[in-house]
Amino acid sequence: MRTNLVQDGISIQYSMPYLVSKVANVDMPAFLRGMTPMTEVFFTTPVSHITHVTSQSANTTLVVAPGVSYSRGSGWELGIEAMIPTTRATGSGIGVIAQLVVGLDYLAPDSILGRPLFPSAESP
Amino acid sequence: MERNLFGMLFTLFGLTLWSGAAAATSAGTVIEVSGSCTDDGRVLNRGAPAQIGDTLDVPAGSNLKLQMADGSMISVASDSTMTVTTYNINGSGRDVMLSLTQGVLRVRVTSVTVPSTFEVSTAVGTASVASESADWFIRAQAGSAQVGVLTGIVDLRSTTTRQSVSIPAHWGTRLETGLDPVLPRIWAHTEFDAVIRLTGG
Repeated sequence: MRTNLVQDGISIQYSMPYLVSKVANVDMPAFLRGMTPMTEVFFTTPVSHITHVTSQSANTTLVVAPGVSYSRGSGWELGIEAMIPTTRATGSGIGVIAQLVVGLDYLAPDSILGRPLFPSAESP
Repeated sequence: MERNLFGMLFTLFGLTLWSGAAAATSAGTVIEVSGSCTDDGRVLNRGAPAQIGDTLDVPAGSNLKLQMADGSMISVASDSTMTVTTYNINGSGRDVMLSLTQGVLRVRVTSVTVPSTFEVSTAVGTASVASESADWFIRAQAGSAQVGVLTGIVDLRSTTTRQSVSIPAHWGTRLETGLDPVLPRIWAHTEFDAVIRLTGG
């Protein structure tokens, strides 16, 4: 089976938590200090050896996803992004995607969920 | 008249002695010492008391371990200076404030049945125990502080920005002058080993 599709993406992020903990004390509300604004771009495009594809550009999908992630280092992180299609092949209509990451190793560090399944003998 | 005056002077003298004794309340006892550690300039030996207000100086190549009045243990690494600002424990609660000018402490805080505040302040921020008991490290350097937690939970608050983070067991973080604490991360065993070695285990 030959590869017939290339998928890739790029993410540009600006971390406020990094800014206020490593660079400068910028005066801003507490909730903004946990924000990471971001824009992600995803695309898929057929590769050229597919003979029946007459126009690669006509079949390329490109989604631009501006959004924001929030974390205050308390064991969870919430990200939300708009999904904006930018080519005909991508489709129409704007969508929204959200992701909640819960750090079990932070919230329950001494439980089986918060420890390595195969701890090394040197673990503290 | 003379007798009354003598009585008043005697009472005043007694009160002065009593207040002096109250000010020098023992916070803990030295249980291990190596090298020439000093307490406000006095050389510390095993069994010596550490009193509220004392500044303990542990020079390079030395180590000091204290057992505190509530059973907590404090190990002071070499090249460290710590002041016992407050160490009160009674039926109404525990109120502890240590000041770490420089160096590394390992603090093993015991649980108590009364409300408890156990804090270590540095030039850049204050770490406070947020769990019933904890075993943790704090390092104070010029312009920064680091906290690592083996057991329990410790909060680290920036003096300048007043922002804080909570550090659970096996995690650690750092704080630099004038900034927010860095979001905590899991510490590698090598990082814990390094501070355990510094504080003599």
